[in-house]
Amino acid sequence: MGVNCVISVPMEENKSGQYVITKLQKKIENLGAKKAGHFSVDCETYQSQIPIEGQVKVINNVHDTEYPASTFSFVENGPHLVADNTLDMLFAKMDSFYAPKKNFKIEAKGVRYELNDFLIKVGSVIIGQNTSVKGILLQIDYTPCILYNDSWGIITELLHILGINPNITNFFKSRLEKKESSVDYTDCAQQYLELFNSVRKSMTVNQQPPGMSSSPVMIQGRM
Amino acid sequence: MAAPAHGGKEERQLQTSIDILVQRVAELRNKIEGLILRLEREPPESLNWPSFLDNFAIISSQINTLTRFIKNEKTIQLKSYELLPLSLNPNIDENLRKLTNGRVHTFNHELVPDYLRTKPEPEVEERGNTLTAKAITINTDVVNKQMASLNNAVHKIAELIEHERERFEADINQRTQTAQSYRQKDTEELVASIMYGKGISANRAVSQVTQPPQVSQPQTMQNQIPNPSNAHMYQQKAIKTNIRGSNPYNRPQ
Amino acid sequence: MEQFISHKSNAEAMVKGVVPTQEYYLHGSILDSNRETLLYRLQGSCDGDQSKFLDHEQVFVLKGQALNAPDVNVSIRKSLLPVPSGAVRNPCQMRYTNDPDSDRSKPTMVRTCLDIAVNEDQILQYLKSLGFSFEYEFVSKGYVFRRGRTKISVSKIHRVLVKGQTEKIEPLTESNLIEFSCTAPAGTEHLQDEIKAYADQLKPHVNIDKQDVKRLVSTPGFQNNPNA
Repeated sequence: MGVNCVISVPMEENKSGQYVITKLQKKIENLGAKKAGHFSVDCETYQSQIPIEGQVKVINNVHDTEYPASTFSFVENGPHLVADNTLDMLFAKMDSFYAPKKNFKIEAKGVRYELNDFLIKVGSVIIGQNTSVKGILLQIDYTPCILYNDSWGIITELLHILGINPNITNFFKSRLEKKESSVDYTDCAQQYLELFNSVRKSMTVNQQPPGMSSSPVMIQGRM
Repeated sequence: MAAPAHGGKEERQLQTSIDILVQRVAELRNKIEGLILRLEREPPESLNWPSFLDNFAIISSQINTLTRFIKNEKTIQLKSYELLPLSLNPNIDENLRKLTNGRVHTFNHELVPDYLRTKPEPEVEERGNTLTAKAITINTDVVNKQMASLNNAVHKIAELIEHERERFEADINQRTQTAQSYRQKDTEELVASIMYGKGISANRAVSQVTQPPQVSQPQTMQNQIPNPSNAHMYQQKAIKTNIRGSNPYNRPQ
Repeated sequence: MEQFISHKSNAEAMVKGVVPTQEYYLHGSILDSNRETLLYRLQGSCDGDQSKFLDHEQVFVLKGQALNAPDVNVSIRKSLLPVPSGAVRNPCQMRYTNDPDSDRSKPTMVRTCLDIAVNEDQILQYLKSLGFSFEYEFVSKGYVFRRGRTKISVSKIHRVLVKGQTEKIEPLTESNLIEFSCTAPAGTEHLQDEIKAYADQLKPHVNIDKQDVKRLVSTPGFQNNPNA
């Protein structure tokens, strides 16, 4: 486990999401990266049926194929938990208290590349049952290092080579601001969650009918 | 085979006795065969001692009934009948083979002495005779003395065993009466405690008095106590949410 | 709605898979004075060696009254034993259990359970923010054995005198709790006979059996009965 950075890749005007992804994958392959399977990160959102401590609680359960036996559970504006994926079954047991939000499951999936010390994942974002691409996420892991500040330079460089503006998440920013801040298992899921939330937000803001792709609004402060 | 004719009644009696004997022996044989079959055919792990011993018990009781039947006064005294082989044949006798389930093929000179023997072999008989002769020559006084001392020894051993048994039984009684190694009441109490918090959720009440409701204090457990005013609010909200009971997520699966 | 269904079937697939969701268990107890004898017997008849444990268990409940739903009970169990230097502490265990099946014809008690390993640092805040409230806690100290798929524990249950302070404890009774427990996926009812047969072997030294203690805790507040 090294430092990982997840960013949103902007869509191109009048081009399909798939086009942008293929273009990006080409660039990565040209650098000599090797395909190493597929990946998927998904998030299910639950909502409390009654207010708890005076507010309706929203819980996001994130699953990452990189940690197939785990569930990362985030209470919105609250604590988070790393647990066995049997936690999902506990939520099924609590279905009178917490119901999954309808058509809210969001997922990023795509190809996983290995490039020496880097792990690169290109994922297309889909929501609910709709298969159209709602956004593109790029994850870059720099595996030999667990300190944010020390690996940021080399990650920026790789992004630069790929021709992507390093538009990092607020979470990542907060990590960079702290000196000597090291990686935690939940960091990757946190960044995905932040980006998922902004994709969802852009969907509701634009009121786009499903099927049309739009570029996601860049990082709205959350968490 | 020949049987002396002693009038119709006795003959019928003999016939029924033999029929019964044959039937009993057949039953016994079936049982033994069954047991042997199980031993040979079934995997060893499916055999268990209790059922094995049961089988033995059945066989031994069948042998018992058979012996009792032979000794019974009403049964015809087989002892008083003779069995005389009229002809011996070195060739294979199919009929005999069928009768004996393939165990005896021929009725010849070699087999007959073994099968129809009613007395011990001559050498054995001779040894028996010498022993009897020797016994007769021993002095009566010596015999009596030896018998007395043997009886004495046996008596002592019997006493010893009896004594040990009493002690053993007393021991068992004592153990069951006094040394109870568990208390059912404790079991129930412990289970009720770990499963429902019986007797240990009392400190909840205590801490509710001593700890004022807190907003947040990470890393301690005190803020887990339900705040009474909060609980009240919870109840009120209930009325509202019950109306929503028909929403699809609420349906029991 | 589709999302909801797919979520459901997901969970069902997990249930049908290898996740152990059934717990078969029996309880008994042994007086302190006779504990050593029992431990010897267990050591002789169980697989491998006994291991010592010292666990702190806290029980939380999500009250279902307001929603007319049954309560959801979870317990958090973590070891208080010092971690050997160089080793990493195992994550603490969160366990969901429902009320046991009271079917008298079955040889053991049966309940649904879910074992979830969780990270320790935020679990209490997490449960609180989900609406769980603290019910009770205890410390159990003893030995655990394994025999086939059955886990056997002999432990002393302690009351925690000052909430959350696990060093100030006192034993509940003069007895040690014995628990025979086996968790397995659904459809493994035959395991019950295995557990029961071994439990019976320890008679008359101890009586390990189904303990229906619900009648002892009928006092309101301990267990609320959703009459849904």
